[in-house]
Amino acid sequence: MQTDAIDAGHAPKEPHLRFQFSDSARQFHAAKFGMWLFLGQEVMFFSALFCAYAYYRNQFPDAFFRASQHLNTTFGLLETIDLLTSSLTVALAIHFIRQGKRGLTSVMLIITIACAFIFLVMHGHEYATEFHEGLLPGRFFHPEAHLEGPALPMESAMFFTCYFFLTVLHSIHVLIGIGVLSVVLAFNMRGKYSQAYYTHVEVGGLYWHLVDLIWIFLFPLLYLVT
Amino acid sequence: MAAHAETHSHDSHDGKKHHGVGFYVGIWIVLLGFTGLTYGAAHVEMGAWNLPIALAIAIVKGTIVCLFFMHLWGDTRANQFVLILSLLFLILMCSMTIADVNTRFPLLAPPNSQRFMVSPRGQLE
Repeated sequence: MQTDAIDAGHAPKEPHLRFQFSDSARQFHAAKFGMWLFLGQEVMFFSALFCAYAYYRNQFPDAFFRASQHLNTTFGLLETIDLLTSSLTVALAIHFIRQGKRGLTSVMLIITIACAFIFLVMHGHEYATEFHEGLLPGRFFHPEAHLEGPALPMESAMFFTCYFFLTVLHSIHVLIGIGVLSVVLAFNMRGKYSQAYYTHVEVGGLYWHLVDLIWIFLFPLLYLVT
Repeated sequence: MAAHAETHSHDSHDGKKHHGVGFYVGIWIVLLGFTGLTYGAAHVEMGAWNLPIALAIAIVKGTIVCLFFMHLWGDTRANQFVLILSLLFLILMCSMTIADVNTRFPLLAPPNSQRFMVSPRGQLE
């Protein structure tokens, strides 16, 4: 049992235990703390873009409201539900590997990765629509040729600048998350993880939750401007 | 060593209580409920209150994800501290920027200031 192994000193060394750690628990905490430091850095990385968004929305509230009307709120809502579901399944993957249920962990990871792909496909569809309508950042913003209804003010270009920077950066994180979770899934299917050792599942899961966390804020800020 | 073992060995026999599948599904349903609330609140005309309410709901959702999905509830102080600190920096950066641009005003020329105008040749007149 893992409790014997953690009681260091006379316990046999575990294969996953690196030499610089006295026991598995310390190694686990170090890995998790490292991931949290990375996530803290990620929050500040995104904060620059959130700050730009806050500045321009504060400058051009009306242009932001009218630009936001051209986003597909139904898609935004479905993407939110999709990411929340993937967050649940990755939390369940960690829950099952803690009980040593490798098969169920793999199933949960596969569902999570599938949700990530669904998200990317949906967002890609949105991007295609926006490219077609000329709703692009900065000087590429030329909606008058393609959009029906009242013309958008030129300040709306700043909304789409913020929109594209925030969502493309977020989508890159989704892509990286797919990579991380795929590696974790491959290791799990090879039987690398158990009740006693599942650091990668926990740490990869934390990264995935951050992707969901950022989207929770992006959805009302981009799709539901009032 | 035994104190550190608690958070690593996630078994019922170590005396630390762990949530079941039902708990996580419950959290998920609560999050879906809040998503519906966000969507509904955006379609109610509340004037200036729409943005603070939408942000408040998002903060509640984010807190639930951090505490229960990311297991910050009962986690080590170090992990909690890292997240709180990074959020404080985010708030500092955004609030100071907005406070700056919203409190700017055109500078007034002091009385008799023409006396100190610079000539095209770069000399004080």
